[in-house]
Amino acid sequence: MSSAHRRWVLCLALVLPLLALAEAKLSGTPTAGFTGRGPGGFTLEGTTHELRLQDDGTILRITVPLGQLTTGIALRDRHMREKYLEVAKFPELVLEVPWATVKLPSDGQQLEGSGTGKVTLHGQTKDVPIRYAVQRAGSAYQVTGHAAINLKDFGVEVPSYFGVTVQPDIDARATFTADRP
Amino acid sequence: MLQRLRLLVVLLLPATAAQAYPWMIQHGYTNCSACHVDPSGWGLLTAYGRAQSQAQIPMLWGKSPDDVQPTEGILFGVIPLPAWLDLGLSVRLALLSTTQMGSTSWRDIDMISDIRAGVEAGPFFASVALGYLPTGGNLAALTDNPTGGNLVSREHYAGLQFLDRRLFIMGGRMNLPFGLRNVEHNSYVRSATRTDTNTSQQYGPQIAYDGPGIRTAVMAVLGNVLIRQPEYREYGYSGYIEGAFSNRFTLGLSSLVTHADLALTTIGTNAFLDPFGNKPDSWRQAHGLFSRWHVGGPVVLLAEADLLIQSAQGVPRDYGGAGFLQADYEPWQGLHFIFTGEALRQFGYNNYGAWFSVSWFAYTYVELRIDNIFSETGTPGGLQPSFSVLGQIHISM
Repeated sequence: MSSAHRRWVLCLALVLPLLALAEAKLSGTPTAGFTGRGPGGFTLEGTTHELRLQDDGTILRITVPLGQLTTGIALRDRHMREKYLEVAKFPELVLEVPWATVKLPSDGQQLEGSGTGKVTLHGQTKDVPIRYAVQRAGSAYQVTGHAAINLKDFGVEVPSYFGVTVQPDIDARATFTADRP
Repeated sequence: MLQRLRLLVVLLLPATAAQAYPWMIQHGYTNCSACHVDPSGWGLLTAYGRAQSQAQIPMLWGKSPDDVQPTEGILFGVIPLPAWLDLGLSVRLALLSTTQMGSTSWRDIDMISDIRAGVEAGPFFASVALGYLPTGGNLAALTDNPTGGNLVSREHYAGLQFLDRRLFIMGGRMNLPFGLRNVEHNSYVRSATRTDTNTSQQYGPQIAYDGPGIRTAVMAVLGNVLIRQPEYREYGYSGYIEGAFSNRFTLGLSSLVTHADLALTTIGTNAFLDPFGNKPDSWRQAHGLFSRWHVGGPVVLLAEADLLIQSAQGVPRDYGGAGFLQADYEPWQGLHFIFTGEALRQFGYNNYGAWFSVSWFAYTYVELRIDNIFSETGTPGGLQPSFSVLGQIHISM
């Protein structure tokens, strides 16, 4: 291989990964939330449409502001924000996922995967299992992800109200579409 | 014979209503056992249910919904309750005006005056309701005063609960698990299937599962022993299974089959046209679908459709059906505008009903309700129109 060829190969080797790690940007309205369970069939669902993506090419950081998280009952929302999540002190949930652990589908394909993400909640950071499904259409990636969070692990008091106690294991989820040229 | 005639007449006398609010799906509640001792809903409230009845049900008069602080116990916390004890009270008084064939009649009705109590110790739980009715309610009457004025007990049952209140095994007198547990006990779907919460409870064992995304209950009907003439008691089963496809939409399937040596006359529309009353070897079936849907914002749709099949010796088998569609619109917490359409085909006659109701939970524990009901009842001479206005005051805690 000539020196000119070697320079081209070196350039490509440097540029191609950078292209692959081009910054992901949100498009459309994202949804994030959680599902909690209580006794019997008691189910608690929280939802917010506030979600931010940050992508430094190595780590995808998904930030969910908790101030607008609602469960459909105002009093319960207040308890959730003030007593349990303490949103004034800890306003966000952050999930960090290394790109190296993420598989992406080729154009027109869907792919499911799982791995480990780093969640910061209530001032504490823990590794948690995550699973995700990605549907690709050109540069648009439609993502649905779940993270299994145990409230006790993050120092969040287990919610209990008039005899109904929510189980500490909750399913946190996010659905969004990202453009990634 | 006279006794049987008396039995038929008392069945047509005023009936009661109580509280069951399937529109609570508006707040994401697809299951019932968090708020009610009966896992299928209605009746005695749990501590959590009592808190919700203070926070989610009444008008707040300018107070922010997140400022409500429910009190423990009952009567604004004046009567504290230990965790193992539930107590409740329900009083519903009504004034009914009915206009038919150019004449209007008025009637005041003591619909319900019940106290309720429940205990829980480990997996054991029990619940009982006891009340008094000056007229009617004979299917739930503990006493046998033929001129009215009876002690009634709509429910009394005990059971065991397992799997963190997901699995229930119960026995006693209970509401039949079937369809929507809606408050309008005289709606066609409730009266024609005899699954209303007024006095149609039956005795028997019941197994219920109330889990995430699914709830089901099946009861073996072993007869209503409060019917003094045993030949009229029904035996069979009743059950439902309902799936929650999200916290906004559910779809359920119900089924009921009962047999009695002698048929009771229907408790609802067409009572005087019922060809099965007092006929031997009576079989009654109802099978149907029901659904609850939080459409969005303050709007909830409730729907039910049931196939009705009835047979008895010497009477041609009757195939019919009952349908119910209700829209509940709650623009401000505590104020419900309720639009209901219903239809019934039974004994070869068609019947139609249209309701416009306003239910106003004016204050904690207090509901004022008015139902405007236009109905067309099938008769041999054609459809007979009538218009009823039912005003109610309901105290419940």
